[in-house]
Amino acid sequence: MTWWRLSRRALADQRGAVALVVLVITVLSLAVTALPRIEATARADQVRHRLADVSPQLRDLSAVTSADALSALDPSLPVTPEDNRRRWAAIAESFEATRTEVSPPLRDALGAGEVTATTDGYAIPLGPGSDVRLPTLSLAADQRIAERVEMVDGAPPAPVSWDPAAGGGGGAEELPDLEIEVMLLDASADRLGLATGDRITVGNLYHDLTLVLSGTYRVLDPDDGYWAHETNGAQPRVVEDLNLGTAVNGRAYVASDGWWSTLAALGQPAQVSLWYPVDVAAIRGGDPALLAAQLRGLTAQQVELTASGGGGGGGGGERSVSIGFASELAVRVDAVAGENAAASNIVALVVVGPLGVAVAVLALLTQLLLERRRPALAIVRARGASPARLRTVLGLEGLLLGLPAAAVGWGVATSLLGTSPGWRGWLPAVVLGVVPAVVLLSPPLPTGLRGRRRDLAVGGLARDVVVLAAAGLVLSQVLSVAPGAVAGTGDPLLVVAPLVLALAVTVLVLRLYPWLARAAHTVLRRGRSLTGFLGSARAVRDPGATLTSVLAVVVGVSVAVFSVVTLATLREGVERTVWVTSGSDLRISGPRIDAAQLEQVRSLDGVAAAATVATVSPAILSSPSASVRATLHLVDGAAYADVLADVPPSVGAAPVADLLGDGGGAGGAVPLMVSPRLDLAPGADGVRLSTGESVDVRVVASGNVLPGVADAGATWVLADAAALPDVAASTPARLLLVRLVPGADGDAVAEAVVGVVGPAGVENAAAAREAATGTPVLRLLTGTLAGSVVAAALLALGSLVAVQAAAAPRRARMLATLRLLGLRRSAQRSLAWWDLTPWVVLGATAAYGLGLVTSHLLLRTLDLRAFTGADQPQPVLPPVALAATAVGVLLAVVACSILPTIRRARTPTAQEDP
Amino acid sequence: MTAGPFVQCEDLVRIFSVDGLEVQALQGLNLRIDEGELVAIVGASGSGKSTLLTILSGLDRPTGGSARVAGLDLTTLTSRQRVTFQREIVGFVWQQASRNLLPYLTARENVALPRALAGRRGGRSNGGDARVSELIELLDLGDCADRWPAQLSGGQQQRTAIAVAIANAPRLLLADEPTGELDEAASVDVLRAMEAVNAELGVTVVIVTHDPEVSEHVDRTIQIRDGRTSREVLRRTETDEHGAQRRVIEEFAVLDRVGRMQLPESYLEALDLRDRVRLDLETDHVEVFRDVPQGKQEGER
Ligand SMILES: Nc1ncnc2c1ncn2[C@@H]1O[C@H](COP(=O)(O)OP(=O)(O)O)[C@@H](O)[C@H]1O
Ligand SMILES: [Mg+2]
Repeated sequence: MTWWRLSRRALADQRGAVALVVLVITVLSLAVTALPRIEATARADQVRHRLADVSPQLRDLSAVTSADALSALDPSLPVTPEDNRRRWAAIAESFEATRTEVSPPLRDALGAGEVTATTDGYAIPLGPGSDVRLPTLSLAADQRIAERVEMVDGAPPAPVSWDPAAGGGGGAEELPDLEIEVMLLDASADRLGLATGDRITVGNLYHDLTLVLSGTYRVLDPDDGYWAHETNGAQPRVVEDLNLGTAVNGRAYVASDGWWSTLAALGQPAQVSLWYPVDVAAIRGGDPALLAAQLRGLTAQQVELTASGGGGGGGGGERSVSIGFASELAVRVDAVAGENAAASNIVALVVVGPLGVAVAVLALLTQLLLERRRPALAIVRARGASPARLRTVLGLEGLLLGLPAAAVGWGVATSLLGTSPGWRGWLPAVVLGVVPAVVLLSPPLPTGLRGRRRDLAVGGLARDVVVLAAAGLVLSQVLSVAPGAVAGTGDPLLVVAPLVLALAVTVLVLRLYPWLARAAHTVLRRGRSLTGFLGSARAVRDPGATLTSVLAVVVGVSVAVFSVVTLATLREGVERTVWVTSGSDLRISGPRIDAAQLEQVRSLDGVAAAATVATVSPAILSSPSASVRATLHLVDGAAYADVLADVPPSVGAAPVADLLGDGGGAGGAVPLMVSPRLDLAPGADGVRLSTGESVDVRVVASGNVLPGVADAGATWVLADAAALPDVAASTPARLLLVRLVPGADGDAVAEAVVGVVGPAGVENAAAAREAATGTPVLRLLTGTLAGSVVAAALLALGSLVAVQAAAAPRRARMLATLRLLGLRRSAQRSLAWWDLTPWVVLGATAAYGLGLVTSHLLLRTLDLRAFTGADQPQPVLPPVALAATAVGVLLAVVACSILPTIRRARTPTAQEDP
Repeated sequence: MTAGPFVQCEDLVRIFSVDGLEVQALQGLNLRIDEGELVAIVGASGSGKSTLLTILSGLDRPTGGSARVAGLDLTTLTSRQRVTFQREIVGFVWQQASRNLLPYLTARENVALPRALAGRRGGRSNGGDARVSELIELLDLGDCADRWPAQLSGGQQQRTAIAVAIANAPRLLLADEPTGELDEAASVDVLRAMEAVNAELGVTVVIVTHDPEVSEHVDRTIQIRDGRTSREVLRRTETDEHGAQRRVIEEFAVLDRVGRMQLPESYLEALDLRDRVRLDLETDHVEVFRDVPQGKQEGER
């Protein structure tokens, strides 16, 4: 008989409980391993998702400097093609060196640097019969341009062969005329009326410069981010000016091997653009804050480009030039960081509770294991096992139960998700794996062979005081946070708030329950129901409620309520934002839309209602006390109200129909509706509106938003077009809102509308809704919230089952005795009911209230604007989901209280001690 | 280790507190047992018998007084000494089999367990230990040694428990109502087994019981009342000059170190002794008189 065999027998004897412990650890370990990774992935995805929309020009880390400044990197005068290449190389190398000094994660996202150079435009002669009034050509060079274009006709330009030193050594005025081959974009050549072989003579300082068009090219990949920087290289720059006429600029590429010589000969300044393309897809390790900090580090100050001395003929030593980078990326990254932080806060909020309870339930199950084992341990100890050995064995058993199960969970999570991020990845699983060992070792070893007497004491007063004090602290912290103020990584006090508050409620329930049980018992003792008397007596003397089990119920229910409310709030917030920005199913903006077109749109298939909006800005709204700039929107009130028919009340749309009811009759004052920002009470006196001419107006109402037109943050003024006919006549409508017939295909209708009004920006509410809910972190968030409801429910249920299992032997003994005395089966069932139902109902009710309170308190402190747009959404109480939660809780309680009578809890062996 | 009685308790006190209430289970108990004795302890339920046995087995500590077994002071045992004590000096059998035997080990494995715990595993773990077989033989468990406790009869369970208790060859065997749940025949078997253990192995045996039957099997019966030893009954078999044997039964009251003793209840009732008595010291005995103010006196020797 070895210790190992003894342990094995003991564990095999309790295989049910052992299997449960192993299962719980495996599942938990899987969850704690997977969740951080899923979250990290979602965060990283969110960064990529958001940054993918930013144009390369804004995104890429770019700098502009002068060619003169850069020549400091290679000071000798470039003459031969080799000299030219050497200077390009000096610039490129120093630029590349700067990139390699950047540390990850930014470096991973930075592509190889690009360097291009260009001069100002040279005015070229007007082409005969061309509409272009100001044709210009800029000279440009890029060493790698050949990789990005193909020749349409002609040949790439040859490098200029000109030696400034051979020109007689005098001043610039003695230089000979210069001839340079260039190539042009085919479209630019067309627009400028040029063809391959043309020679264009332009004026330069003291001599003529002849540009020979050696060929035209076409861009290989117009979507290449490169062309976002070099726009003129991919399309002619056309500026229509009503006074000056059309100006067109083309970019004439000279051979890069002659660029620096050419510049020297021309004596003209040139700009050099340098940039690192940012590859958003390559951003790893979703820490946007770090990325933003790195970007700021690069853009906040001048960066030195340094060339090592070897290159030029001139003296050795370091030569450097400083350039300043610019990028919008940091700002965009900050925005994503805010979004991610808000998501993480919510995830942490809903995860901490169930996780805490999961560990508590695990502890409960392990305790159950230990409790069942207690007599055997006492025997083994009394027969001469040394306490140290016993503890070692228990500890090893605990590890044996915990670690392999944790490893399996970890392994499954890792193989499913594929990533393995260092020690942080396995630490939570290890901690979980150690829990059984800790639980098995923490209580004193059983001594003596007599059963311990169970007392009525609920547990330490000190514990309760500590818990309530902590709850008070957390609560004051939560209340002191300004609404929506928490953005960063989350205040740990707020993160643990749900758990601590749940603990406080648990403690209160535990304190309150004996009183209620006693009160019930006092009443039932006088009554005639035997089960009522016995049940309540048991509830008083032998309450099944333990800290862990009540906590599990309280956290389970409160987390479910919190999640349900948060989900509804998020959904509604997103929905509201879509309504505020789109206002209707389709929002078409851009072209002028006249009455005839509007009628045509209305007659299209699938269109239920359509309205146009004309905007006058600025309009001055003056009251006796102040006058403010506002934006006046003119609508056909009836049509606009019709378009808004589907807008839900929670959006807070202005009561547009009120504009009409007032029908301009009273005293000729024009009825107006104003934004709350303008701070004008309805019916205020002496208000005038001026848009060129000034009219008396009357504020009919003030509403929050004009869906599709303006939100609550804007200083808008709404009037019916018919009330201001002069203004309406001189202001074309450029916005069209369309409400669709239910079931109509938005894209098809949009296409038809564009067919009527011409090219326009189209916003499809359905698509916007999809885009808003489809971001990675919002998906993570909704997933976590929904998952937490399920997890919390399972946990609460699991803990109830565990409590029932723990109470089974005692209950079975009692029932056995009572059966002998002739207790009926139905009475046995109602006795079992007494075990669980009273305190679970009490705990669940308290927890339901707690869930409602915490969701209101905590949602206030979370910055949800990242998901819902401009406004911090108010907590929403979804009646159906909340009712469903309540019913779910009830069903669980019922299920658990009839469970033991169905299972006919195993009757303990006759010898078992009382 | 000092000379003196094998088991010696002086003024043993054990107070339990439950719900703030104090229960005095032992209130200054005195007890001496010599090595090799077979002793029964009797007393009403709740008189503190089990409490005493738990203390003697090293599972519980007294609140006051002293308890020594084999020269070891049980009140000051270190954890390590306690382990050695339980491994080498004491073995015990309780009334309920579930407290004696591990349900998931066979009878043989149960017997082997204490040997394994003490690191005295002789043969294979399956109980191939010669001593284990010997014990199984001694307690007549041969045909049920490989069954689970649940498959054994009550008597077999208790005999197995005895085998477990003496597996490590202890010097003291404590048994708390070992026959409490058994029928008469099984009880006799178990008591015989104890006698055998006492006689053949020389183990000192202390049996706590309700069972008057037990008294027939032991040399000395100690009665406990209200947490104190009150009386002792000695039985010996005397052979008179004619070679005829007769059972001699002598009753004693127990006197503690400071001279306290309990008079049997029947005496108190018979003479209506109350509150105080008058004592007279004679040359070879003490007389106890009822305290009667009128002067009417009745003596008692
Ligand atoms: N663990 C304990 N906790 C509290 N009281 C106890 C405990 N063990 C025994 N007692 C009390 O001590 C007294 C003596 O009990 P016990 O030694 O079991 O008596 P006996 O075995 O003679 O019936 C009883 O009143 C009993 O209630
Ligand atoms: Mg007893």
